[in-house]
Amino acid sequence: MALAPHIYKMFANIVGSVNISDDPAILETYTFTWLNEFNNLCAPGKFLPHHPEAVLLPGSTEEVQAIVRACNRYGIKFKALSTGYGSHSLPGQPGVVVLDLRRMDRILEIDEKNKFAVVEPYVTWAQLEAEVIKRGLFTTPVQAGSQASVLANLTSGWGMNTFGNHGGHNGRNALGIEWVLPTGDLLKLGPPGEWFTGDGPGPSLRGVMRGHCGAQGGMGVFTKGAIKLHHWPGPPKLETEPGGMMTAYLLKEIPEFLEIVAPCFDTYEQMIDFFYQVGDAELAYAMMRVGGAEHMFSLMGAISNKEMYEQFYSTGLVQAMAEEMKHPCTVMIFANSRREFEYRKKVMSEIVKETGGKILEVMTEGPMKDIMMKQMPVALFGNCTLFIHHAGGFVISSGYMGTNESVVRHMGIPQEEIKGKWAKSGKILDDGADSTYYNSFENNAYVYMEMEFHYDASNPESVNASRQCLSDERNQRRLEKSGFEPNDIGLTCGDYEKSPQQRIMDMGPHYGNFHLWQERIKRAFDPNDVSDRSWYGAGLLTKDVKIK
Amino acid sequence: MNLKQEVGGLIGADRVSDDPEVIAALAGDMSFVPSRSPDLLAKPKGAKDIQGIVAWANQANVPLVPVSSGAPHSRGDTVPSVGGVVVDLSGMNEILRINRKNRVAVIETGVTFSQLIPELKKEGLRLNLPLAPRANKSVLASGLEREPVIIPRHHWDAADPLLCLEVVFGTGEVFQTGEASGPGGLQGQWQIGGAQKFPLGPHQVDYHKLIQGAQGTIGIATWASIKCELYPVIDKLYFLSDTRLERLIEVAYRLIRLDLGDEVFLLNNFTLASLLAPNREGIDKLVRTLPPWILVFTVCGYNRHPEEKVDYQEKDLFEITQKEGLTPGQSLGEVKAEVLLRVIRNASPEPYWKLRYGGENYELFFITTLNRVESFIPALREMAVQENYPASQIGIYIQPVVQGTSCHLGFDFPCPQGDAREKARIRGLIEKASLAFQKQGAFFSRPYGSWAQMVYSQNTEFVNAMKRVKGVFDPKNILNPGKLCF
Repeated sequence: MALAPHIYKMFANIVGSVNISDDPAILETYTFTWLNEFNNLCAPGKFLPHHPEAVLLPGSTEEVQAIVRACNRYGIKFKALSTGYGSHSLPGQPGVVVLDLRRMDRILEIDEKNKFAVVEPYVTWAQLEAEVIKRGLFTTPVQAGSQASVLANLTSGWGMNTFGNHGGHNGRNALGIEWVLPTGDLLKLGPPGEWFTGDGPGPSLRGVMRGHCGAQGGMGVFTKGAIKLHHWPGPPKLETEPGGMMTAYLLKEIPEFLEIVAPCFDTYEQMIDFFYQVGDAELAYAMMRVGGAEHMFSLMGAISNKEMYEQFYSTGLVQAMAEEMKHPCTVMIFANSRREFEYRKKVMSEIVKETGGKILEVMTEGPMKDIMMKQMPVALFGNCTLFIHHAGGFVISSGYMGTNESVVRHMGIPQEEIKGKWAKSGKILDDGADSTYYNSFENNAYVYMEMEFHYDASNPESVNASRQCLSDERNQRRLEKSGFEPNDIGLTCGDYEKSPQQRIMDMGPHYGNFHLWQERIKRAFDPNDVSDRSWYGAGLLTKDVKIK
Repeated sequence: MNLKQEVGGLIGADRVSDDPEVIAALAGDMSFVPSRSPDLLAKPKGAKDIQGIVAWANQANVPLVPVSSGAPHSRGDTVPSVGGVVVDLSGMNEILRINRKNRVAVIETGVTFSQLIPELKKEGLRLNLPLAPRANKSVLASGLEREPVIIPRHHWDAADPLLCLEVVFGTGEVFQTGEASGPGGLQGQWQIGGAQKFPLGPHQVDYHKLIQGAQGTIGIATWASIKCELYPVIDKLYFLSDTRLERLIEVAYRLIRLDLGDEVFLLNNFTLASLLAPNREGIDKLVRTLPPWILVFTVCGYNRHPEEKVDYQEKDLFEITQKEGLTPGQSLGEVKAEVLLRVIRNASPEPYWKLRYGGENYELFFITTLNRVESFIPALREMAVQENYPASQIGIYIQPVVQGTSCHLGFDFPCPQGDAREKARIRGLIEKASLAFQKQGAFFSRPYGSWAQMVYSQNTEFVNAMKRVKGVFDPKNILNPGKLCF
């Protein structure tokens, strides 16, 4: 169903005729994204079933407001999109206009003294990082990659990031926010005209902004936002030179007081102990367990999947390394002075020894030494993400936020077993490791863990096997726990045999009926139900749920 | 049946009181909010009691005013606006868990600072404390009020150190927030290694942020998890003083930026004297020996090579202070660092330090940024002179918060006990300064008393949005009506 001509004209009047389109070829591109083939919303295939009615490119908050008000008047649904990442960033139902925010791409302010930056929705992590590093500050780029929107991560997506141990979780890094509510009203969180806080007066309306998973387009449009920054101990510019494989460039000079330490542990227990000890000692700028040997190699050593396979898998190197590096961790020490650097290195070395960590010689000598020190920092600072696409498709297991013990016990260990079973079947990629991403936040106050599955996106059998793999995990957990774990990111990502709405309906009763609370909030803030609710709360199904 | 019988029937006759003396004590506090008596005091034992009371109140249309700290209260948020039942949670005071490994405590609402601080110390932990809080102040309530805390680098978000909560909403429904949501309850979650550390969610709403700052208008908390920090093995406190704030603020910025030091805050001489001296005479005497402005910071070493950790921090710190031409010291006239260290690591001894000078104290505080602090202080002093209030008796406290992205700026105005004229004068001064400072960019993020009207009248959209939230969680406006914008 196309928009009525007068409605199209009205939108064109708001954004200008060059900033609106209902060309089918253009609209089709707004149905294509990572993970589509995985969701049964659209399977089989790479395209979501619902084309938007039109795509609008607003250039200002005022234009966003005008569009949203018009949507309310005419009962048209809308979904805002910035950089997009996954099916949840695109329309999940018919009759939706997309607000593509790519024209709103300015860094509005960098307050060096008070350590925050104010950005529009299409400012990416790479863009912000390049500017703040000149001023001795750094960001917390989302795991999705430096091509992703800063503001989306603060408000609309999850908020995990590689530098969380020192920089915190992005769900907690938001300060002032400008927000066009689903009604079209403009709400500013924090003091009018100021960005240094977003909490109050009185209760913090950041409470209805994002939660754990982000609003995912269901609560209006976020048009400006301030993010807390943190100190960058390095030089104002990182000089690079051609080289390396995956990143295609290397650090020319290793910043003073920077060191990457990569201990491996035989058991999860040892690794957990290590995380706690390093957290207590506040040593790490970044601290994570990045998969197994295959992750290490793909992160640092391969420019393409083919090359990756030929160099590392077919030679048996990955498999051999996986045996040696059962639980490989990566810790970045980045200090402000020689004295601090020496102290941190000394304590780190002590902790590695005490907790049974092994620093493999291969990692500290020869070519790997250069890779670790010159390419790994580039990969981490630049937040490269190509390494996760070995087989064309990948998906994560339900991820957990929580303590080290709880995430390992209820995700790491069972998931490893299940993945192994499906990898042996040959239907998903046997990548020789568990491909775990495990990241510490706020000096190990809590951690995030997810496990990756690589599948052949062009092969329905492989896609389906990945779904089955995740469902196995769900079923096992249900049997073990008669329910679900707190803060399972999989509230929207897991159990792909069901629709997102069915998943939420399943899980809500185990989590204090949060889905019903969200439905009440949705109705209060979006009385005309125009902000695409497909990925918010219980989505479409709960429309008819009786709320007492 | 009267109120007493009805509520007594729900929670036990021995847990309710309408004794005139008890009621009179609840009718007012040390603020400018007009006194008004409640009809009844109720002391629930747990979440079930609270649920019963809230359900009854919805049916009977009786307001409920939650209170958890001991007297004296000072911000008007516990003074009933329209009578009703004061729900006193101070008896729910069990420390449910202290977990060293995950650096967290789970406590009931009535647990006080004087109760929790020593218990944490036994486990090698401490709280990121407000500045020498009242001994009988509820730790949970302090978190709910977003009181500023003194270690900025551990203050990652405005919500810290409050993490997860159990709350009875105004609808009467019980809910657990953040990581605490989900099956198993506290015990079940502890058994699987959980510790209620992750505060966001569940899913797409941060419920704890809606309850915080709400002055009891959204829900009544029954327990919460509180983020704790390690207790230092070596602890050194330093003073850095100057006649002007400018250089001290520059040093404070650098310390916070580089994560050097633990506690970091700035005081004027009157506030420092009030923290240390036992009475008015002592404060007057001590003030005269102190420089106008003092930056206080601590350098701590923990379990691993504490001496070396302290050593590198001291050397790095001293380089920073030297650049500003300042030298830190461990004494300031007759004031010794270890004495102040004891003060800031504990709850205030009685009388509460803000009450030692006059017997009463009135507050003006807001959020701004460190580089703007100096624009407010001369203006306040000028207004004080105009109102004939002695500027030298104004306590000033500057606390960097949220890792230095903003700061709390607080002014204390001591007042002779029972002096209505002086109280009125201070009220006039605070109201005048509040209006002026709001225009100047001060953010009254915790709008107690008349600040609510001042702040909300300037922000219609925020009020509309908050009313939507209120409609979801307390649709009959049972909880503390008359506060904020409700």
